Amino acid sequence: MEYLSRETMSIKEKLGILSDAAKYDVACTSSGIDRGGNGRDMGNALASGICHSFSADGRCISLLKILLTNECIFDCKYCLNRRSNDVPRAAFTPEEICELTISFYRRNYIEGLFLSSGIIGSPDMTMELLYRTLYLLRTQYHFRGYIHVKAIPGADPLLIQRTGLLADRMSVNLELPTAEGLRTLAPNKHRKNILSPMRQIQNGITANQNELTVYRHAPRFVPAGQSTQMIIGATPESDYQILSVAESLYRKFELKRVFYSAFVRVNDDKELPALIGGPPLLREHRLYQADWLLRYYGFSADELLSEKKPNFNILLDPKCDWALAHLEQFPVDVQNADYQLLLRVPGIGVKSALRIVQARRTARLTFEDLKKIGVVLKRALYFITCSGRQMYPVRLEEDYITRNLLYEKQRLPFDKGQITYKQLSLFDDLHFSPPQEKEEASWKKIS
Amino acid sequence: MEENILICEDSLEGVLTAVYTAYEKRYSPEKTGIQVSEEGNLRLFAVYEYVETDTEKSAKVLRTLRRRFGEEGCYTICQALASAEEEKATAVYRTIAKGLRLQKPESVLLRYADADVQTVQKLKCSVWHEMHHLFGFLRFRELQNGILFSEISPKNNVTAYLAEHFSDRLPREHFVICDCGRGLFAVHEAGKRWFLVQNPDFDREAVRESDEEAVCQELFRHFCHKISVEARENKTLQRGMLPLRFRPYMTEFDGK
Ligand code: SF4
Repeated sequence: MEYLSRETMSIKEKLGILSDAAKYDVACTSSGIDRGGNGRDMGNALASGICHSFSADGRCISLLKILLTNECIFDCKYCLNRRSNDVPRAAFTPEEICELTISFYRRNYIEGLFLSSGIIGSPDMTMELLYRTLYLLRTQYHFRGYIHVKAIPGADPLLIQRTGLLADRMSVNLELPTAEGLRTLAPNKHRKNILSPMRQIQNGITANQNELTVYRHAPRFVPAGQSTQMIIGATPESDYQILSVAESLYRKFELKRVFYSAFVRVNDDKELPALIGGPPLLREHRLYQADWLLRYYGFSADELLSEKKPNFNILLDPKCDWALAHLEQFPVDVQNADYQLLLRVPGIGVKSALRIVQARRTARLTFEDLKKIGVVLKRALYFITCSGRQMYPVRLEEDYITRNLLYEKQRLPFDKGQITYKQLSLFDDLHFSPPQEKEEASWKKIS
Repeated sequence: MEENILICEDSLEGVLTAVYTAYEKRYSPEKTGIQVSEEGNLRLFAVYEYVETDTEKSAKVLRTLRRRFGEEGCYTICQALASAEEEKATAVYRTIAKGLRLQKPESVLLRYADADVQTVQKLKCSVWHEMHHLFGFLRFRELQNGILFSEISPKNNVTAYLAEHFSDRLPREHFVICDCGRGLFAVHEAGKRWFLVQNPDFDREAVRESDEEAVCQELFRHFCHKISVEARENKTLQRGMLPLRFRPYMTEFDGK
């Protein structure tokens, strides 16, 4: 039956079904590795990643993001492909995937392949198919472009290891931030099964780096690092819980990226929350901002949120919010404040902080200079001085600054027209208030 | 005091020849400007002179830049010169002059408080962005003879950077990238080094796509449509990320 459909379905139909089924995976970056061409084979890779297009939802299209098949023996409640859903099913052959990848890549539609899959037959069988596809693409089609592939929890570690030698990035999705969440919404998945391939990949990367220092030409294992994804808003965790999970994934599993995916209710299931306002996009956005602060700005989750204040401010970005709660550390003078402190000033980014440090060696910086350097003065001006002087005489007072910052309408990526204050507070009401006491222990010990 | 203004061709070689000339004639950088077209406002008390592009002179300057400013510094300077802005030539010239007075010339590029350096960095940044956009947004179409053909219309003169990128990526393909606005073609023959041609004898009508081309385009359009999440639809964001000016050349927008 399954083979029959494979024979009769056109490539276009398959592509339609299998990209539609893959679209809720948000990771579509092609970043993390520089690999020049070799003058012979097709493909190279740039560490910065390249966006090839943007879909109607405003998200980047970088990779050919498809499932090998949307057949699945599991029944995760939030997923369109779950066993109990009556949806059209399809499966690509490894050859079809290779042909598609190459013909798209040649025309510069994509940066490479992002291959995932429903669980067909068993985790081993699925992983084997993913491996075969990558093997074919790398060795028969001589493809040197970017490949991101899923590691299937529960699959033979040897298969995962071999696949990792062909891929640039691997990911195992955590799916839900807590083990409890997983238990209610993904009864076939277990936290342990998800974390063990993650650990395996981490160890594989470390071992490979050691190997590379000895043998420069040793094959590389997952050189662009590993990532994961959490669904936001399907279960009642707080932002604090989610961010703390992300933090430990960065620290203990050395992940390259954690992605957050605002929950989209595709199945009508009583276990799933009904989100009147649509997917919690503002929440997702705040988490990305905070994630950025963890990775590049030297913040820790505990500085940004706490048990007492478990969710992000709807109106202010996490950095402004933090600064307002720590006014005693400001103002700082741009001429001599150290780099780490500059990074904490709202309106100063990683690039502008670096430029400030470089430029002040030979000049006394003025506010005009800061503007040219790329500092967002309308936000920074409350927190900095140039040669001991403020830009305008402003008070360093929480209410006063908050009011002024709010007056500057924040730009949100999903701001269709304008989101008013009222709508924003509506978002706020949609926040879940989590039952903290009980959960605390389980989500903190992720190791 | 009099000002000297050198007028040169709008190309890397043109501007670098003018830089060479300014040095040769021992002009003072503070009182010397370089202009890449004649259209600028004529200034009183300025002496205008035309500089004929000389590839030997420009190559000499380029070697000096590479040696004294390092690979990266040299890259920044050249990329600023790919800008479409008028102000580039003088800013680059003065930045070079200020740099060469320092022990480590490339450190001049970190003087973000200097107006000329600011201009150079700003221009470099916008050229880099457009180049990087086109790394992704450029589309090839396969022609009947197997050649990959691409048309673009960038603001800045980034074709050489694109040719470099794609010849590294597709070493065994024949491809042509055509900057429609400038009439500039980058040509890459499989396995060989790419080169640029200005206004070649080219018959636009002779461009015929291969049979497979339409099928492949249709597949990609279908993919782009399917990969979008309806519940998140946000055309404003899409427009912010992918400016409309690129779309006429992109397969998935079908010339719209
Ligand atoms: S394992 Fe769960 S999430 Fe993955 S495809 Fe199957 S049902 Fe969907």
